[in-house]
Amino acid sequence: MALIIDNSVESLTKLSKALKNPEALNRVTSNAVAIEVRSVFRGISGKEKNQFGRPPAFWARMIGSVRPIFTAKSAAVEMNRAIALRYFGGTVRPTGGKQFLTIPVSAKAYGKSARSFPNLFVFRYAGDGPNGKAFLAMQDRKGDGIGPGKKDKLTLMYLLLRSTKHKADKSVLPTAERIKKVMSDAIAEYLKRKTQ
Amino acid sequence: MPIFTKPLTWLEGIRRLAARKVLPTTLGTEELRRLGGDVKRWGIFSAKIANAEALQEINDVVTEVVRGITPKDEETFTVTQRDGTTYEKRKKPLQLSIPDAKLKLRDKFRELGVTVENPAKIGTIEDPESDARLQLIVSTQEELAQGYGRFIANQDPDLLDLWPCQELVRISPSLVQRDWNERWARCGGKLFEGRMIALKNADIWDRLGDSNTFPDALGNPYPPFAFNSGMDVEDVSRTEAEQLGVIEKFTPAPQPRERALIEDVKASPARFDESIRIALANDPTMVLEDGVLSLRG
Repeated sequence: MALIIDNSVESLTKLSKALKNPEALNRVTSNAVAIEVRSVFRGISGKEKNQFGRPPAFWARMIGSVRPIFTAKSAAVEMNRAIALRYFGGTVRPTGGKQFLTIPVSAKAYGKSARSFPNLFVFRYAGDGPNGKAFLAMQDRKGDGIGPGKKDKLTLMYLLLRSTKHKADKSVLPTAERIKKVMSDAIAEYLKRKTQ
Repeated sequence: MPIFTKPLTWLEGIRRLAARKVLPTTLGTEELRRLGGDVKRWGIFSAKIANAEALQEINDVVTEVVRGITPKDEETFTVTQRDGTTYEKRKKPLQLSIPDAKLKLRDKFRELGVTVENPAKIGTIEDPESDARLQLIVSTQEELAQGYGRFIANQDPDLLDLWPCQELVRISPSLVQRDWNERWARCGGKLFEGRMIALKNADIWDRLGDSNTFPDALGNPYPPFAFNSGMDVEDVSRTEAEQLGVIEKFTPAPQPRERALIEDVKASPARFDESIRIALANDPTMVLEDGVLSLRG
């Protein structure tokens, strides 16, 4: 009869204890993935340029929205739903009874709702496409204020669209393989620390 | 609009009313900076707006921007098909966008008559209706809420053990040129391969947000640290921190930090409600009339 002396019982006890706490494990894995997601967002934020010369706030907001979520049964990462549109692609249509999406085409309009400008009017430009294009425009009146003057300046503020289509871009999130790697590394590190 | 000319008295009042959710004040940004960090951090930061209802609207709007959409927010629509049969469709409403949030605030301010006193300041950052001001209110509040949320979530022994350090990183360009490397050095921070990394419980995080050192600082030990900073922090793992020499192999995990008024912040999305009314009723120095909070007498 062979006598087996297990001198690692203490480590095994610690390991067993650690594994009996799935919530802690899930907390760690979800946090690891959240870090990875934010890292990808930061990478994009550093490269993406804003056409109006303003600092693009979109990715900073997305980074702020990333949150690890966990229970004893699951680990997940929550983020702003705008990421879903980028990742999966899709069609955006106006909601709330509105007929058109208002796409800023002027730096003055960037980051502002069309309703914040009191004197916008619809300007139809027939020369582009079968039905032309419609804009919300603003007129800066510099003349006497009566009728169109020579000094009037027309600024196209928003392009009006019934919908916009967005292509899927899988690069906005880490790949499934990368997520698996990050998770397994986090679990390994967690168990290592717990058994030390 | 009442002007509070006694900041110390006001501060005392704020301390007594620590349980409430909004901080109406007519103090300017500079004066607000002089108030305690906790006061400013837990309050709704909106310098020179003294109307309680307006502040409540800020709280509501920012909460709506920050909280995201949950399954509870889904609306159910009945769709009738050509053959007359119907089915139910669930659809999530859109999250309140920043432009819409600003517009909502502007409309509320107009309705309440919250406006700039000096006509020469119309359209400037001092005008509550100006885009710059509305943007500052919404974005700062959103960033503070998110920064605080992460700060609290990070105070977990396991997370602190696995990710004991954090790095100061830029997440968006800023129009205001600030040398964060210089700030880091001024706060006593060290660079590790050019990266600004320190233990999560190091004093440097408090120093970075210290408004006594940096006039634009917000007083919190977590991002955004300063107005429109574009800065954030990111966890650094124990392995990486050891490799970079930030910590040694057996450096213990940082102790979880506790912050004052923590319970108040957890309850912050609640309505401007009985808590302030009860507190005000018990405070002989303050009075709330027509939604405007002021010092009595």
